[in-house]
Amino acid sequence: MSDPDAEHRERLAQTWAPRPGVLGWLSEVNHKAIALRYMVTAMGFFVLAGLLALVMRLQLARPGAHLVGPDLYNQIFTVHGSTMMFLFAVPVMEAMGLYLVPMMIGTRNVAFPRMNAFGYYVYLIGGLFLWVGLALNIGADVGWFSYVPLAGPDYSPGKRADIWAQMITFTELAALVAAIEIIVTTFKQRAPGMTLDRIPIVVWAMVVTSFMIIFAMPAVMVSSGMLALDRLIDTQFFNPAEGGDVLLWQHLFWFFGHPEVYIIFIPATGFVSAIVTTFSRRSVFGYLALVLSLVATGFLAFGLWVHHMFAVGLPEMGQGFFTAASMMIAIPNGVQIFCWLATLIRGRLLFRTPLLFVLGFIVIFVAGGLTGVMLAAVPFDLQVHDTYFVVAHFHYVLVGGAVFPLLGAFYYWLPKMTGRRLSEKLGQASFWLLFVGFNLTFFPMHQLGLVGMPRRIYTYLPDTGWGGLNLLSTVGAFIIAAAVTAFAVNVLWSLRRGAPAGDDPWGAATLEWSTPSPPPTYNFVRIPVVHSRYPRWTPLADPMVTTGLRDDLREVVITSMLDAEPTTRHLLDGPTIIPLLTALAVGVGLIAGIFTPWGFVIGAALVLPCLVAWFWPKGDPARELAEGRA
Amino acid sequence: MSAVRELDLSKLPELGFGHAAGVWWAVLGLIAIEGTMFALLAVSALYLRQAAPSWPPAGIPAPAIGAALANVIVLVVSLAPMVWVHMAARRFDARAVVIGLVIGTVLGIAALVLRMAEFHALHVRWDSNAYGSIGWSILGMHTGHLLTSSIENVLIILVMRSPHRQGKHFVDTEVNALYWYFIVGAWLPLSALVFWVPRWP
Repeated sequence: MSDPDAEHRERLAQTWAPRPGVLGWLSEVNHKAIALRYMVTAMGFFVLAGLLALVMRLQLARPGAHLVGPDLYNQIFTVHGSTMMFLFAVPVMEAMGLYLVPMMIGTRNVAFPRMNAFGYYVYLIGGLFLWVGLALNIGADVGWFSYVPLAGPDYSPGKRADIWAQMITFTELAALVAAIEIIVTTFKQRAPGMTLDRIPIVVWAMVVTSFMIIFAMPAVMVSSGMLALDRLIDTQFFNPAEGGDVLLWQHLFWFFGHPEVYIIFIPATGFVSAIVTTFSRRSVFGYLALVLSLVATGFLAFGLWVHHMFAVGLPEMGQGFFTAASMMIAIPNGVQIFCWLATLIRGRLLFRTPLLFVLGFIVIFVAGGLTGVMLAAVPFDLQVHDTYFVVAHFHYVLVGGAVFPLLGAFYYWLPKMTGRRLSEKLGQASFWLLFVGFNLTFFPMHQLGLVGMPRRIYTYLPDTGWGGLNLLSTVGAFIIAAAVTAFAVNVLWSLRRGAPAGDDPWGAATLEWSTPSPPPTYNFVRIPVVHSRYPRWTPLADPMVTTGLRDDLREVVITSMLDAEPTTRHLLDGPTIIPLLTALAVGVGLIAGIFTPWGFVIGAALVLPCLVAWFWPKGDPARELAEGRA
Repeated sequence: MSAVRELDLSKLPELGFGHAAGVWWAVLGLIAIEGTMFALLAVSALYLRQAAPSWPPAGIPAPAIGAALANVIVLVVSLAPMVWVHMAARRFDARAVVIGLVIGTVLGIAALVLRMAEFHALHVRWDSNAYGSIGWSILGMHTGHLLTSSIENVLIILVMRSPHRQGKHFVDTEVNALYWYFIVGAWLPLSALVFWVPRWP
């Protein structure tokens, strides 16, 4: 059995190899390595924020508890929410995209490998910044949406709100970088033949999300920038005494904040489509309807932000418009759910852990969606505004809509990423623990909200009668902790003891399963040619693969945006330490910038030489070596 | 092996301009991001204006428009050398790129000098009131873009004269011109917003 590709494979491995040593590790630009770091970091923040949630639940388990005082409680719920939204949910979804997109569309790396590494380091610095603040007892303490005037210079002296505002700058910068990566990679680096209507739905979901990031994230960067300026150099954006307006903050924040929810949810629906397809063992019902639903959700998500502000008093016309828009978004999401149900009903179901998480998602998300439609009605919203009903609602849509599919996706794709199978028994146990624990924690909160328990209070009096349901909720929170522990144990166990996964443990249809597990640095020995939406489920057709890409350079094929016709061979950048240095320079500038405006000047002075080094032509030794000119 | 027909890519070119280049799409994405930021600042200005009893607030004269007008002219004129650079890049004509970029950079520096006069012409400090804050922010944000893009022009001039220059640097030059168009194009409505809208009754 001589392998005609053996020599080719060896050269590819050499060309795409990372550099050795610690410096090499810090210079890594491979999309899978960077994405895995993103995932591990984001899951680390998830666990940390979860521990904060446990502290809150212990504090609220009985009336009049003294585990933490009001000041620390404010920091805890602020850092919990900010971490879950900015340091866990968005980054972990983008990390999945950065890992999966190149694999699913059949290319060797993302379009801008160095930018990708830069984005990760910026995210990491921003995340640590928020948590160092908490560790020093100067943690952000004005809620994850930092409303002014509370967050303004008059009511929040010190640096707490600045830490929050600058963490936003870090994480949104990273999110925007990842969004551009995903869009350009998908538009230009698809395998020949992967026309628009053959793109896997997960990839569509990632692209729609990335576009939403591009148009939503600037709003929070602008608003947190204004807040930082108000606090640092006395601008008057939010000061009513000098013509400023506090509602400007709310409009800008929620113009970002509402799409943000869908930025987290849409990738999750992509995972659901992939898992439903594979575990029903049939093509997905309504591919076009699903893709159009994703796009429609992406657009509609920008027309809903005011429903977070019903309580501030709005013109009736405005209330009517935003109520209608908020209810309308249930339509594309309903279409998606019915497409999945149709696929499941007509499929031969394989009841494994990933599918269980998807079924759990459908149940919980539908419950959260129903309370969402309730909240879209202004009179009801006014009644439960700022109560635990809202807390229950958004945990149902966010945990149900994002965390369940995410864990399903981990059970589905981790065997590809690590090369090891996870334990099915422990997986199912983690699902049931999470499902029961989640409902036990959050379902009682609906009732607590209806009877008037406000959000963000650090304790309550015994005669409110809220103690029983709160205790139930706390018990549920510890069951969730057990579920997350079971998942973590499962992953760690599989890394050491798990059975080898093989190339394709699930018999799935998409390209990532045609590589070894874990995939080699260059992903594909030969870039495949795609002839259908389900390349691994359809009969082979000629031509099957491509030839002629150089294996002694980091070359990829660029294809046309609509029809994926090959147009050019393109050289991708290799590993370098410069993205890390640039991220550190940005970090110094932004962190110094909360103390003095000169911080930005210092930052710019540090970033400039980094960028010059980044782009300066070095004569490309790799190419010169390969062409015998060195 | 002969049973498998393979799609041969070895004859494909190694460079593509315009939408054939990934970096072109990336710069389009950057333009979308920065364009959204400018749009949000503009909407914020209009939002503050509709809530204000007068715009500018009582006691503050409307901005002088001499420098603003001059800067609009300088920036629009700067489009000409940039279009020339754009076309030269597609011909791989390094000499023409350098000439065009030198002219473009000189005009960019002229715009930065005029910008200082524009800040002065606002007749208000950033910390006086929200009117001043938003005016300074729009001008400041655009100045940041002008400054970084001018630095980029200088870098490309240096790269064009480097012995290690490669074909891909002409693609970079093209997208740099694209970004310059955006910076000029974005300024026209923003200039009207900052310098003309306060003169309306």
